[in-house]
Amino acid sequence: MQFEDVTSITTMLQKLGLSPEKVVVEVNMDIVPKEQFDGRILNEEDTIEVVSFVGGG
Amino acid sequence: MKKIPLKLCHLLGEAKMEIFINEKKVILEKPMTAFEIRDTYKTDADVIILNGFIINSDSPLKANDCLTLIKKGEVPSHEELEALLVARHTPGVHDKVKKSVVGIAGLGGLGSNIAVSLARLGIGKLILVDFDVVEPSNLNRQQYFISHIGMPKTNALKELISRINPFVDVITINTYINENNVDECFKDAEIIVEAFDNPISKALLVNNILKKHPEKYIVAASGMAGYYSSNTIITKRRTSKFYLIGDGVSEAKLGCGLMAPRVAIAANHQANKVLQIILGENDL
Repeated sequence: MQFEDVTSITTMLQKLGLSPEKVVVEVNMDIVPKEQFDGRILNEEDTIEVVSFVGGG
Repeated sequence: MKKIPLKLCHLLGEAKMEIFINEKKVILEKPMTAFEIRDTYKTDADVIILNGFIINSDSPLKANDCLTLIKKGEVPSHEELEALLVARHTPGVHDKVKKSVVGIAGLGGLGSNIAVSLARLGIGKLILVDFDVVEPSNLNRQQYFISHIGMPKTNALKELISRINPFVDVITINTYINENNVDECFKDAEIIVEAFDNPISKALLVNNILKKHPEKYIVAASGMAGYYSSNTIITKRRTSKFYLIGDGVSEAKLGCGLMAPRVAIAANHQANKVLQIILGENDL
């Protein structure tokens, strides 16, 4: 995935149309807590996994 | 039940015969009939099943016949029920299952179905957590009965399980799970099943377990509404101890609600994954 500007997890989620309250984000095999979404800047070589939950159960 | 002692057969040329009585192998010293076995083993049996069929008149037994003697409504003893489970799953499997402690967060469509499947398997201990009460609208997909309407789901499910397998140790916690109590709720569970319906709660629980309890397994679910293809409900391993079940997209909403078949499919994907983890077959 390519981004033009410096991108935080928050920005990435916005671009993907995902809600920060409904996701699990893992960067390079490490879970990033929600409180760090604004501050964590993504780098070019980062591997990011996002699970976004939908309602129902 | 009396056991027929094994003795050398002194009778002229009559061979010993092996049959199964309530799934236990028994060697008969002489030919016997079904009713004679009933009179020896379980005189109060009122249903006799021979090789899968109920019989109302006596029948001589042949080698390898399977006879089941039942007294209607009788609660099996712990030993009997355990023997039946072992016969199905092999002793090695049952041994692991009965030592396991599984926590279930949410006792709705997913949670109630998962709890019932695990109870039937003979799981050792279940920790069931929910704050909700059984409502009539739940009955379209949750395992509750009309007699449970108005009861807290924790109580209703515990009662239901006691009528399936009374030997499962069921701990209930009637509470709304949040960041402050989740650690305490599931401290004894090796495997936690996420069975909420609110996506925010789902994310909260999974993040909490992954970050603060990485030694525990979490089996979560997302996307199971409607009557779309059954084949799109899948189990995916996300990290070494985080599994996600569902189609990932079918959100429960007006006009596309939760329906029994697909919810139960997702729930049993979760239950089967729990079983695989217990048996050390994490990659199936």
